[in-house]
Amino acid sequence: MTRSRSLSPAARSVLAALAEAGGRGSYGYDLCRRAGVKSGTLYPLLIRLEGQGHLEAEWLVPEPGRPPRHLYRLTGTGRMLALQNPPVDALGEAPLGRPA
Amino acid sequence: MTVSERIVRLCCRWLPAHLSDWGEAMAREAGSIERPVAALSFAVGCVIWAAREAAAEALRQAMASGAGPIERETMMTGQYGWRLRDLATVCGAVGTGMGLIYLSAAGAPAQLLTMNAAALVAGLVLVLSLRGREPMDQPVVGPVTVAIGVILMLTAALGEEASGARRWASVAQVVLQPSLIGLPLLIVGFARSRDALTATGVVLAVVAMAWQPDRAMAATLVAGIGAVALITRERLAIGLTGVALIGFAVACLQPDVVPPTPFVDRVYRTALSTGMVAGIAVWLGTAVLLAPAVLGLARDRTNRVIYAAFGATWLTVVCAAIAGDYPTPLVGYGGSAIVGYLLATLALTLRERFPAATTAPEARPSGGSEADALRAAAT
Repeated sequence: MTRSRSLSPAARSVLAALAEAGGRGSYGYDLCRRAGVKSGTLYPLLIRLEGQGHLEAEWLVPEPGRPPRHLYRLTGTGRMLALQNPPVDALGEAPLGRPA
Repeated sequence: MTVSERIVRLCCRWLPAHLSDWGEAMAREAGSIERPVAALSFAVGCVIWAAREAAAEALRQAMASGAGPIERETMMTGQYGWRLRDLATVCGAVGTGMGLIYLSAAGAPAQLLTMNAAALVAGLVLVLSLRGREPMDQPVVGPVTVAIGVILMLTAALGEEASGARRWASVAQVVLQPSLIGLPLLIVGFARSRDALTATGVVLAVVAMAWQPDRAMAATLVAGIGAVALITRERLAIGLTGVALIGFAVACLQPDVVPPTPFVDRVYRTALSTGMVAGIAVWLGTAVLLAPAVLGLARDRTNRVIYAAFGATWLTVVCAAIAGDYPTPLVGYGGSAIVGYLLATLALTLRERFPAATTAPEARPSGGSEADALRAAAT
């Protein structure tokens, strides 16, 4: 049985940053900056999102002559998840189920 | 390759196989960041996460097969020994962490905490850089044990003296106790490979401990080599136990009046009176540092001599710290024991490497509640 629990503010911010990038995708460090999370918070989230089919990770060469990097894009279900879970700032209040 | 990328790459070697692609992605990302401070900050986050994942994986694997004896096939491939070596490293880190909690709760100066943390980092870097290798296999183990014996003799001859004892060496204004760094590795190395060279290393160490003199480490030699003799019943080990006993007797005949140092000695006797948190941290940290030996003895009978030597060594160091004015390993102030413990774990390996790819579980989320939340929100 799955528990219904609201996403953490960090997860919401990362989803929003990924949704904002859309089809272009984002690299890890850009996501850290735009979502305002540390790398140690970002990667576990990305791994879970990918494991559940909400995210695609692809090795891509950003510029010729540079080593490839992981580029992240939301899948269809990921975009829906992002829509259903806007960042905390966008709600104007604390997420449901948490003390204000 | 930038320093940050190198750090992330090094630490991501700890990750289980199903996360290695993510480790590579993090390392590449760290290497792509132009500002060094930002890159280092990014790398630190990655390292913390990688360490957490590696610790969780090591504990999961160590506890996975229940309390029964491990399968013969598993023993033959060396998988379990590799897991126990990982677990021992984690125990070293956790024990040191408990020590930091004790030092903090007991009001130790921040410098002492920093020194212990720095020793932990140095030890982990050493162990990490040798992960997947057999640093104490033939033909290295013999020369390493002899080198340790020689260093201990040099310490007895030329080291720093205090109250008639000459046990310390000063390196870059940091005072170290070489016996705490090298002796555990020497003992476990001998347990692993019992030949003329390792025996020479043991004899040199016995003479050095009697010469310094250091009753605690002389007793540690008796216990460690004695454990090997008890299990193997080999003449060489029995003979060396006798030599170690003579060395211990010589050390005991000499006066030992080194005054106790706060946060180093008498920690076990004062921790609980300092406060509940300090007391729990000290005793829990001590239990953790002995755990790899207990687990190894219970589960890996093929290599029990190695775990017996490891356990006897650290148990004796602990007992000496309880009974007399001798350094408290890991949970008290002192980087030598921290580095020594982590170094000794390098000898806790089997003949073959751990074939991580064949045993790695499929990728799965490691944090239940957040994963559940993502799944629930998607449906």
